[in-house]
Amino acid sequence: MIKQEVIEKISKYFKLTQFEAEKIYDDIFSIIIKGVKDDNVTDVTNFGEFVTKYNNGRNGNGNGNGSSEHSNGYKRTVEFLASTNLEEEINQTIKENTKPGLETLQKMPMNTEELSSVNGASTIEDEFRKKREALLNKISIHPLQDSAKEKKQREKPAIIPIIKEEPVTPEPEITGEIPPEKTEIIDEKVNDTVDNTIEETAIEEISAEPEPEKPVETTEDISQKSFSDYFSEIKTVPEPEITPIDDTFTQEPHVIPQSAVELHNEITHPLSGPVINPSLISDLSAPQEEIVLSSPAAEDLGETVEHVNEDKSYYIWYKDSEANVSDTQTMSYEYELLYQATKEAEYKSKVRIYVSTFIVFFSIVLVMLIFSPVIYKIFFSPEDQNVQMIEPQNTEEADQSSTQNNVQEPVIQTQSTEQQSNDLNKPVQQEQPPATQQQTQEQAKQQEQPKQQEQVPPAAQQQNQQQPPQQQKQQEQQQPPQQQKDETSIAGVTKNTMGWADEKFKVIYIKLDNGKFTIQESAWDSDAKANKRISAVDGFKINGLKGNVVRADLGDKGVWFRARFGEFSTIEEARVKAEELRNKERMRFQALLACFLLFA
Amino acid sequence: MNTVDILSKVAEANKISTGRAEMILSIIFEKISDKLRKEGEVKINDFGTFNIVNKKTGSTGFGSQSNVSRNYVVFMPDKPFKDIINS
Repeated sequence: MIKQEVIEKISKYFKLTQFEAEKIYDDIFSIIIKGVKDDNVTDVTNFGEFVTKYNNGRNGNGNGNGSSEHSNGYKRTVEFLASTNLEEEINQTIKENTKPGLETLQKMPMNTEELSSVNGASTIEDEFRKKREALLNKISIHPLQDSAKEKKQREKPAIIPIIKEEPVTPEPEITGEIPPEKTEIIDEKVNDTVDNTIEETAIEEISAEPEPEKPVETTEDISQKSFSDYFSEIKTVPEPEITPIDDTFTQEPHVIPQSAVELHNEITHPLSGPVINPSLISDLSAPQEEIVLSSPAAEDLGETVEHVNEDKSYYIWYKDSEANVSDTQTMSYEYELLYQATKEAEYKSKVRIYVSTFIVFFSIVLVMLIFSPVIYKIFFSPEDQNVQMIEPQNTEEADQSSTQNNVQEPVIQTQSTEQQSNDLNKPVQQEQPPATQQQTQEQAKQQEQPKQQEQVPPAAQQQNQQQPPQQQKQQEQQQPPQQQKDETSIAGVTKNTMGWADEKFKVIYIKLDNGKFTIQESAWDSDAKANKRISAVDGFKINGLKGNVVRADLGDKGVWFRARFGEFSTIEEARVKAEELRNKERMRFQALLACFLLFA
Repeated sequence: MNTVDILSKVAEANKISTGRAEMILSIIFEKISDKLRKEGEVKINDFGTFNIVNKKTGSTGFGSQSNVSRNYVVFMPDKPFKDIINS
């Protein structure tokens, strides 16, 4: 399909999409059809003309109004008149194809592999090559090349007459002595020698021809010349004949900006003299002959106006003139190629920059992703832990004061501890199996005991203190050791003054007054920060992690706000939740990094 | 209508420069003429068919051209083309 080939070529060459190229292709033919319909003729340069014709043989051009003919019952059809160039090319190719020996030449093997495959011997290769060269030499006598040679000879009229005199001399010597059979051979040889001598003498004469001496201009002459004199000099120089590539483009008017014309008139002829008529020049549709130089004085006297474009004698250079749109749009083929090349170079350089920046950025993000755990540890977790590192140095008094403050200042807390305990205990108790429920009941009883001990008056306390150590041992033995095991036997959890510090998850498990454990995740120097942290943890939506802020006055070290989460019957349960919290935080951090990577 | 008109209309319709339109036009018609020379027939959908016709014998293509010196191009418009110009 020619359409597909053309579209691919256009899209590849002009960097257009297939759709755009197809649209341009279709547009061109639809415009041609429209031109044939409206104007009865469409001329495509170097290809041909599409002309409308009627069925009765009348040409559409003659009438000019096809609709009237159509109404009379005639149908219009299209005739194509190929250009002379196209017809010549076609005839030439047909001639070449029909020349004898060409078929055999085409069938002949073209390379050594084919030769070896045909004959199987490399010694015959030379013979084939010679035959092929001989055939090529025969066919290479091309009519176009002949005509080119003739043209070259015609272009040197001064040389040929001198040389034509030379071949006359050898003929009288030959006549009578040599038999007529050999005269033809001699004639051929003579002609060859004559051709060679023609070329040699032509070269010699060209080299020996002295260059015309240019008149030497003195500095005085140059200084006397004005700016306009240079324009008149250009007038005298004959312009070289340029064969027009396209007839349509040569017919375009020579456009000069009106402002440039006015400026030229002001500079060259301020008061009188020839003035270019700006109205005529600015008219783009006017033909070249209408652009005239006219002087008002000459018009008054009835003299004829001077046609400027007959010899293209004037040149106006205007420094700040803007190029006309029609001039810039009709770029030459070479300029278009150059333009494409520069565009391509710019595009490549831009792409190189983009790709390099992308690679750098991508590598940075990749490195960040790889070292995300380390980055997380460095930038995110230590803020909380630095704060926590201070607190374990305090005594139990500080802890007690904090609990007192909790009681005294319930406003600071987001929820009262009692409410939390009630809320949290309900689902936990429901979920627990009967065995664990019994354990919790026992723990509750144990927790009630110290309260009772506290309620005992000081006198009784003294009695208790005075009790022998055996009874104390018995009481300790009566207490179930399970709780102690839970609190101490977990790996990675160490007891300190505040509670049980978990080094792995960087939290502290605090034992509350009700005997339950809570997770102290972080401590902050302001209430707002602590609340922010709680809301962030709520965002993870972990069951049982309901946060509250506890105020702790540490005296010299200031007031701290501790973010605590949930209430758990054992440390193990608290630890599971702490692990879940940290895992979710890590996943969120990695997700953020991945989003960042995708965005990049 | 001539080439300049075609170029200006194509350039206007597709928002390209006339120089570029000229190059595209030349590519298309060079391709058509090349194919016509090589194969003797070019068909363009919804437009028409170009054929090389022998003047002496009147036969199309390169069948019997051993003694023929002159050939010319014939264009047969497709039905859509005919319909448009007769509408």
